[in-house]
Amino acid sequence: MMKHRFWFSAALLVWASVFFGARHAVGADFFETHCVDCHNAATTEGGLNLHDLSRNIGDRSAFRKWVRIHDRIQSGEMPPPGQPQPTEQERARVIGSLRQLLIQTESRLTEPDQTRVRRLTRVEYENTIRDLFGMRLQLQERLPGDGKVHGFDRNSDALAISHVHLAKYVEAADHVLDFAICTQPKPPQAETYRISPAEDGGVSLLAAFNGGAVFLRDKQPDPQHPPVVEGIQHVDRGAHKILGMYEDAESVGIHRHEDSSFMPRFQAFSAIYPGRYRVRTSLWSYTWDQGEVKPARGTEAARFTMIQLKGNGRHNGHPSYLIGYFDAPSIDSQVHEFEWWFNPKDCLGFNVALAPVHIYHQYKRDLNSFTGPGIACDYVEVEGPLYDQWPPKAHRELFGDLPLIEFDANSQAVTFPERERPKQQITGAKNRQQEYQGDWTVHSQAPAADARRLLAAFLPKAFRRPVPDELVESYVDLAKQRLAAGDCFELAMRYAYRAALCSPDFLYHIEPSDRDDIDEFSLANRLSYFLWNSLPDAELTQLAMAGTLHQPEVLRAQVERLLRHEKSNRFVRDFCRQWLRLEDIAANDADPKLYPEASTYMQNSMVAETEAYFRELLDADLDATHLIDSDFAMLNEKLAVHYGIAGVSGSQVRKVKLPPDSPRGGLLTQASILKVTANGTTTSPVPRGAFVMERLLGQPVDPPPEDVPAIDPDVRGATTIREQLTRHRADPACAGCHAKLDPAGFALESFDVLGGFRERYRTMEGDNAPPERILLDPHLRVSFKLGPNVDPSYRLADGREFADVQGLKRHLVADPQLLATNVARQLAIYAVSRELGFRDRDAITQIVADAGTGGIRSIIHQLVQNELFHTR
Amino acid sequence: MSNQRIHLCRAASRRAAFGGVTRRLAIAAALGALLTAVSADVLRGQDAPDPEEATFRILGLFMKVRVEAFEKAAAAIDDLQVVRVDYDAGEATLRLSGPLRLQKGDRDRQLRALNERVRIGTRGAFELAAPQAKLLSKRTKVEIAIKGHDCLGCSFGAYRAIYQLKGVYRVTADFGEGQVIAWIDPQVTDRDTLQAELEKKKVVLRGDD
Repeated sequence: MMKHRFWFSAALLVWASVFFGARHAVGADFFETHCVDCHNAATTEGGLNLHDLSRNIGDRSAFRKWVRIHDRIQSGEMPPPGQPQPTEQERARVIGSLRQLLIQTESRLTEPDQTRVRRLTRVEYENTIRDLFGMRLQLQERLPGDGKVHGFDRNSDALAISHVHLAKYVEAADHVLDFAICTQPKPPQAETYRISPAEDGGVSLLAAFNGGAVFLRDKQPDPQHPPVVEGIQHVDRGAHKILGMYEDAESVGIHRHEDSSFMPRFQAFSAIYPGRYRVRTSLWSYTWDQGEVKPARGTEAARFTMIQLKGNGRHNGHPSYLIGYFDAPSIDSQVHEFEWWFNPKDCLGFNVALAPVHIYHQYKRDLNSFTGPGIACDYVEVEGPLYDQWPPKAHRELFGDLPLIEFDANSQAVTFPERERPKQQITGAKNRQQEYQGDWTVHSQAPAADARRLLAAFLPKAFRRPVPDELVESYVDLAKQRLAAGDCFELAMRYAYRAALCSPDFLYHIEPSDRDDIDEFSLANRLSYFLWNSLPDAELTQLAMAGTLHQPEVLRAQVERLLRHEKSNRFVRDFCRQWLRLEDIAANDADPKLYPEASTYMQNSMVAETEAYFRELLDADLDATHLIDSDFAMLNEKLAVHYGIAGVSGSQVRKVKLPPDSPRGGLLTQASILKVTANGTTTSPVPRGAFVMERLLGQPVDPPPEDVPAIDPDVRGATTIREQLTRHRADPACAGCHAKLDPAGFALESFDVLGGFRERYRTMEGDNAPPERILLDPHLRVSFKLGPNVDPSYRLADGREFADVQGLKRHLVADPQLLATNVARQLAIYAVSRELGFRDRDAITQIVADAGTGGIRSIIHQLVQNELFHTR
Repeated sequence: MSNQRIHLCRAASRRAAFGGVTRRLAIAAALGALLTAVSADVLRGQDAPDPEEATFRILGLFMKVRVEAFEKAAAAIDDLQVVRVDYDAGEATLRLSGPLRLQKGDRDRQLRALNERVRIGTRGAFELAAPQAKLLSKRTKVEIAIKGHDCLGCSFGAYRAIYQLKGVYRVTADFGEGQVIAWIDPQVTDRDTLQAELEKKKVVLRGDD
């Protein structure tokens, strides 16, 4: 009853405020004079009926519309040009009144914007497990995908939970415990395996047979293994293998790019024991010129992946993830060494990061007539598993220093775990399981006391806060129940640990507080999940326990510590993935005929550039104008060539000074941004303009009305998108939004679907001229032509004109406040895991003001210090 | 593939290598005297009987250069010594000692065991079978022109395509020479069959293109 009365009062207040009275609060005259003529029940211009809207102020949808009304009057967009304009005083007065009204109303909404209880995202879950146990397990794919609200997956509305989640969490917990619990008294001995790429299961055996690869010796074709010529393939792979010809091979050069039927890998080593391994490999590149090995065009790159083999490892289609790209200098072997975590059945995948698949199919016919780049691999060496201690950290987290004892699996007195002996299951793998040391398990002489001691130590780490004794006791009881039922100590404790890993205390971000402000542990969690995407470490936890974390100077020091740590790259990756939609980078493939230069390497380089650029902004605390423009870019050779910038060699991304006339610099013209805002064939100013408005400027434009059809691009290239949009804008219902969307979109028409700079559109139609091959790989087969000219000129909604993207950039960087406010807002949404409300605008304004002339790092510091970060 | 199926496949390949009943009789005849002597030694209770020499057909001698490879590989096998190799006949005389000496009893089984030692010792590159040089002169020689890489592995591949066929007694293959030569029993097989089998294994026959 009270609730209804409140809403009635609120609606009445607004209604009265706006139209009938309280002129000192909201100027009714203002709306009558400037708004109602167009936005009434009869006209509803722009879909807005002020009479109807005002009665529903308590509704969140209507509230959002009122916020937009506020923003449009404030920005001067409304009343529109050509209509009678209010004085500045009138405008300020109505804005002030509306603002006050909105703040008051928002605080009374049934569901105010507030950080609510939410579960861990998949990324957070994986990182949390990794840091808790010190194991780099791949867990994300074991869990259902997360949703997304307001551009981020951290909002509770995006993180529903279902019975499927629960089942998957139980499976994941079992998987983690399987790996974490030590079952042998001594570690497996570290062994070194040297794998020739020519070995059975090696990268190129098959390729060498059909011409996708060649055997090399002393940097020349190996006379013992002649290349495929005139369409004649080698005969009987098994016969070659029996004669040991692959073991004798010195190097293998590969021309063929990975595709659905060719997934080269070093299957001769497939891990049996999980752990860290040291990998060494020797790579070089060359140009294959009709049977001869000649110097390469530059430093090529090889891509290493981790392939998670299924079953016995035969066939293709196994899941994999990228490890990285490694340089292969011209006719000069370079040895690379890195450490990586292998899980059982993991093996290294290898791919040449050359041109796209379809380009090099000609090698199949005749290597005596084929000319193209190749990468040679001399060997791959895998050493491991490497352990810092035994039992490893994961086991110690669960069982401390309790001893391991050998047990009798057939014992009738106690139920012992069923042990699956490690065994090589992968076909072609040469590494074998080591001698099994028997069935061992952890032993406790005082099970109840040990269970209590171990759980009391583990649960606060897993739950990320102090755990009351009664909660610890409830988990101890679980262990006791299993002990009473005859389970051995390990099984009993496993039961309790599994329950803990599936409990809300672990799976959810719980911020227990009966007030709006959060406690010290919640603060530690927020900070850690913000900048590390994982649980707090010991230092953060200690500060929270001491109650000093909230102190500004302590908080500042911790932010610095966290940002300097390697784990902060998780934040960079995850924040950019969501804010800039990098996760959509592979959403569509470029049309191979129009864009033959497209490749996986290029695509991965695009993402690497944006992440490295954001990292640079963070490290150097560069101001928000760098989101739009900069005098440098973060490039590797692949992107540098794509951008037409000389002097960059190799696969590693580094800071490169840009020429003064370069259209590059800033996020705006990075290939990743330009690709995620295009489809695989054409570009459109609309989605690109929308991206710029929403993600970079923080001024999202309303989606089009449902009855307005989408603009179909003319794929024949006869009509430019500008011509189509000109017709579209003739409709007044469309003109308003397009005045905001189109400017940035038109300027970005200078970039194709891959982010390559263009002055003319590519087309497959007509008698147009072929392209000059300045920036195109000379080995590419080019069939597209050049169509109409690109016109990147236009004007902003406020009338300021520009001739090209550089002109647009100059206009945009003129308002650093706008850019800083947007980035602060995006960071805040990510950090506090909720959409920001109208009332949070002051906080964002304050954060930006406090950051002063500082950049992204300063904004993060001020955000963490701000009350917004400390309240729900 | 299950272990049981693998076992069955191996058994089948052994049967194929040694042929049918006729060849089993030939094996028995060739080894008869040797086995009798060996078993006699055993029955006399001698601890270390003298090594015995015996001649076998060697599968895998598809090019002359493989003679040296056979000698090298066989040298690594305990209790086995190569006395001489007759490439033209595709046979070798071996000196067997210790546990490799052939005993009285199941002769097929003993020869299979010996073949297994050779096969494993040479990593599948060579196998043993009963000798047949005397029969070879009565066989029909078929020469097939082939085209491809001058590659040892490919030559072995062409050899493997036909050496186990019924009615085939000896095969040589050399892409360098551009030729496969087979000695066959025309009552059992013929040129067309051999060519078809070669093409099945992607061996390009000269004149095909």
